[in-house]
Amino acid sequence: MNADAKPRVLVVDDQAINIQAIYRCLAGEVQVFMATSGAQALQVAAQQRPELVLLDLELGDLHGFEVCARLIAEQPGLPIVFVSAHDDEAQVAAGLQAGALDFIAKPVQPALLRARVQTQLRLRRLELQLQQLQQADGLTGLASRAAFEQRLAIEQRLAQRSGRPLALLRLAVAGLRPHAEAAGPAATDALLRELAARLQAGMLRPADLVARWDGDGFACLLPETAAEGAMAVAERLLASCADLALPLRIAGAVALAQAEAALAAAAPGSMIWAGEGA
Amino acid sequence: MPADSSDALRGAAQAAGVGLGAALARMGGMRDVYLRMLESFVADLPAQHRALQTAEPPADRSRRLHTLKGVAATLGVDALTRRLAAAEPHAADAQHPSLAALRAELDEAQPLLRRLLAVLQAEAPAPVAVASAAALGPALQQLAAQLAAHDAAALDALPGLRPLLDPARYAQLSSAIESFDFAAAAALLRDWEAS
Repeated sequence: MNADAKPRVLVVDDQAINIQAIYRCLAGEVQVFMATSGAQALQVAAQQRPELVLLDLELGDLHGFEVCARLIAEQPGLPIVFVSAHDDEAQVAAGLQAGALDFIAKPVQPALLRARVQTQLRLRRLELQLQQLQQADGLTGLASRAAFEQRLAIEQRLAQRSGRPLALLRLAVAGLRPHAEAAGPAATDALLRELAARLQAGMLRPADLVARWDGDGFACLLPETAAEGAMAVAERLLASCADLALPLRIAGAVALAQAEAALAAAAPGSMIWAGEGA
Repeated sequence: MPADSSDALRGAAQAAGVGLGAALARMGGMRDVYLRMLESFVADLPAQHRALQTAEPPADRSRRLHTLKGVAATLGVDALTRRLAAAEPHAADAQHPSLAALRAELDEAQPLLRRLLAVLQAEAPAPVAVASAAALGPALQQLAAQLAAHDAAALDALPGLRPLLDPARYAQLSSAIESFDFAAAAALLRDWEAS
């Protein structure tokens, strides 16, 4: 995750004037993506992975509550805030029960909107940090294999919706066991931690993920990446670790031109890695 | 009301029942953006008035009034917003007095809003050409990428493109982008590239 990138916020409203107003309020602080219908909101959310969704209730095709439910089903934990002129008690309560975290009344008040958006973004980042700590590999601090497989399930759903490619890489340390016997556990742990740090630094987009796969292996999840892109990432990662005591090698790769049903149907744990054992 | 507002602008806004200061703040203080949004809103009011005089399903009328209320509130058209808020709960009853009052408000508001538009247009600064023609290609490429990503920053490309594009093309492109029809805007770029 690139900590310097602006937070990504999806604004969903069927009225251009309302999107304009929210964009003008937030543009300096966040990157704003927009959708003017419920169907478009689901599509853009799958493509752009927003950290927060500002969602109108009255959309031309789907009701905001339905869009909210579908977004949360596809991206569990995605924070959603309703922005609506329906601001009576019953609507606000229904919106919160539908899974939204907050409710902002139209017309928006710029300072309040910015403050509430920043609050939600801060909470989301803290939540993600907490999840990362809970699901981290104890030695390297990377995501664990279990966390990787959870994310993979989500990315499969999103790739299916967006029709975008999805790539997985598995990288292994060549000769780790003999190295451990010769150099000892402390040096081996230090090497794995250094490898992990360099791989983490090589994840350039917010949605990219690297995890500790097993004793001598790492796995990378690269949304919206086709085979050529995945190989380029692999070569870059290998090059970034080339000066370390042991080389990395590509132990497996899966790159799908589109989200094929086979990928979605495959249990993540039984994923067949092309080139396994090579 | 912004401190740099002229007497004419203050007077026109007050007469039209428009809280201009808050509305401009919602548009980041950008008068040109507010002007174009208000133009679009005022252009739609005759159709809204006609719709109020036709029989339509209560749910459709309720939704339309609600949407219009939200947009009017965003633009600071406060007097009309209040009328819409009063009428919205009675959308199912076409004979309700609040709907008649709304129609009257729409009649009364349109010339006053057009007067406000005229003052805003008269006070709008002329666009300044700062970019060179050589910048057009890269600017359009960047815009195409923003449109494909549904990135609202595409809005910010428009001022730079205005002096570089043929006025008719600029009008088409800005209309599509400002109405957030990014697919139509992207199609325009493709057509121009092909021609």
